[in-house]
Amino acid sequence: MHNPSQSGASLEISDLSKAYGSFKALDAVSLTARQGEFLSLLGPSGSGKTTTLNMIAGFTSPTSGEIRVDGREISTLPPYRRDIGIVFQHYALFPHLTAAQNIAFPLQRRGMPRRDVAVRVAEALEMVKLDGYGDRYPRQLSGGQQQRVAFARAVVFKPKLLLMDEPLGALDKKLREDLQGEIRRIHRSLGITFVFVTHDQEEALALSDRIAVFNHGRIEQIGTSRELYETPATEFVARFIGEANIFSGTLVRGDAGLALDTPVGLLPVETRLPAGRQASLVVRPERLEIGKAPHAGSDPHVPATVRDVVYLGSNRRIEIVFDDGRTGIIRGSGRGTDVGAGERIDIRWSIADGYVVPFSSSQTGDGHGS
Amino acid sequence: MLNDTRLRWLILFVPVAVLGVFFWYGVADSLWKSFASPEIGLQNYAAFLQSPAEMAVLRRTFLVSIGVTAVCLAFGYPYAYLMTVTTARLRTLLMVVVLIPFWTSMMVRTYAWVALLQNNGPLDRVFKSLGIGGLALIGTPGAIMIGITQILMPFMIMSLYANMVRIDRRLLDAADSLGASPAVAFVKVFVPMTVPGVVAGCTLVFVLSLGFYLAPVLLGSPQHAMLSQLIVQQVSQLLDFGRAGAMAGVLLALALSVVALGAVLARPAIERGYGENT
Ligand SMILES: Nc1ncnc2c1ncn2[C@@H]1O[C@H](COP(=O)(O)OP(=O)(O)O)[C@@H](O)[C@H]1O
Ligand SMILES: [Mg+2]
Repeated sequence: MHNPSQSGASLEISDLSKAYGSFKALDAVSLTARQGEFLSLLGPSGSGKTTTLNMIAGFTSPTSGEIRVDGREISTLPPYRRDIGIVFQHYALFPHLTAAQNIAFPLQRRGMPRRDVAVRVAEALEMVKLDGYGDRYPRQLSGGQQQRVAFARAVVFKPKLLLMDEPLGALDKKLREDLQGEIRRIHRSLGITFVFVTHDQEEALALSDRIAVFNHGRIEQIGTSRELYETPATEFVARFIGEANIFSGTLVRGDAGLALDTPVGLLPVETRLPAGRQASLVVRPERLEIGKAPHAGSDPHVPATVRDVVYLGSNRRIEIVFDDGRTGIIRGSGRGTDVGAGERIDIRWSIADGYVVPFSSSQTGDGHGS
Repeated sequence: MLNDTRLRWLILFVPVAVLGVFFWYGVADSLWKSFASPEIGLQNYAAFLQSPAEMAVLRRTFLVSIGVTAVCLAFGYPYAYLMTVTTARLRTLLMVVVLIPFWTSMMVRTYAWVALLQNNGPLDRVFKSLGIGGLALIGTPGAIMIGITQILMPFMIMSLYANMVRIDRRLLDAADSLGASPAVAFVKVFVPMTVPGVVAGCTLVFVLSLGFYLAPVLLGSPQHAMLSQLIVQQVSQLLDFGRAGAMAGVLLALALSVVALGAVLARPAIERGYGENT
């Protein structure tokens, strides 16, 4: 029925800013979403995600910048002329209309004949697995069902671009995971471009083709889940995406090459940043190995004390404290991880598993936003 | 600490007792007399319903109340809407303008209308000076309607405002994003969601205007009497408590039917979660 290659729009945002008085809610943000792409806007609460979405939708007017859909500037169009589907966090279903009437609403606005409306509504209900629920009022549906209706209503008129603002935010974990699967399935089958706002990095990693990481009204990095995880552009991204062990210090050139001079010791690194620069070294928890005695080879290694061990079935999450008092995390399975709280250990990693990011003083380290 | 339920009953008891003695007793007594004075039977109701003159008064009372309700709705709806969309400062001003009349005695306000609407009063003279004949409304149902409307308008506005202010504006954004222009979104989303407020306001205004006495007496005339005047006449001049009771009984039945109708009309909204009891 759909032709995925043609049904998605491209989205280009350039230098988009929004100021409220002297406060910059959004500061010169640029990003693009390719046709049919699943792009997530990820960031802590207050970082400007909703502001961005509202400007794409047309509910908020930009202070400056451009928004183009399929190459066409849309900033001056009112929302009802933009033909963009939107799923609101709190569903925003019309309480006086049934599920079917809610879904029919955008079709009726487009003057579709009654017969066709009925057919399309039935298809949409089926797509979100709610056949038989058409006559219910929103009040009579569960949160998850309401979200499905909201989703059906936002795509039934075949927009080329769908915006979602934390659509799963109000649902419990199990339901979120079910709906994530369905959102992916529907994204693939419709082929339209999705822009998905979330503050939940796991959700963004699970769903997206690419993720734009927001912080304080700016984009820190845009990339695939893997790029963000393995090659974060900033310490903020490193902390926000997944878990990270972070060592900060100054880059120095020693006998064996470049190293980072940190409070816990001199750590060999590979980076293109020059010596003398302040920088942070990011090592992911699953890249760390545990030794009972100090490592004798040339790999970077640091002594630490085990604080807590959490068994998670397939692997373990080991919280450690470095000698400067900062904490770290190891994830792993097998015999090497068989340690107990209070035990002194030596952790090491291969030099290639460490990733150096430039030090930034504006770093907030909000961690996982709420 | 005092038992919670018992305390609640105690708190409830006082107003219920006061109402029971001073209000319900009066209602029950006049209803009783309508069936029992001077003798047991329906003759009071029969006489009332068979008197063409008195039926005309009942019809006029009904029509004036409908008119008052319609005018209150027509002016109150945009006014309340404006209150919900404007700036905080203008909203306060609009609210004060509505409430000021509450601080002025009803008698004073009604006499003010007498002065404005009388023969050779300001309104009359303005019309005469325009050369389109005089407009002395005093003594007509129109004057009664104006007087009652002015007094009941705040009830309509407050009922509508209480409803409108609770409507989630994101719903209008949603309608907007789905292709509805602001005008269409207003008609298709906003207006249906104000049904509970409209029903509440109309019920309140209609029922209150049915029993209005002061405005009809001061602004109307014996030829255009309202039912409340007829009742007072029966009691104070003819001393026919049975007949007065029957008129009050019919008025009460009318009021209760309208309240019941309102409850039926507002019920879907309450069930669907955008009515009064949510
Ligand atoms: N209408 C407004 N007036 C003033 N400040 C606002 C307004 N809307 C949003 N903001 C501010 O802009 C910043 C970004 O908000 P928002 O885009 O909603 O963040 P997010 O969706 O990422 O949580 C926040 O600090 C918020 O307080
Ligand atoms: Mg938000």
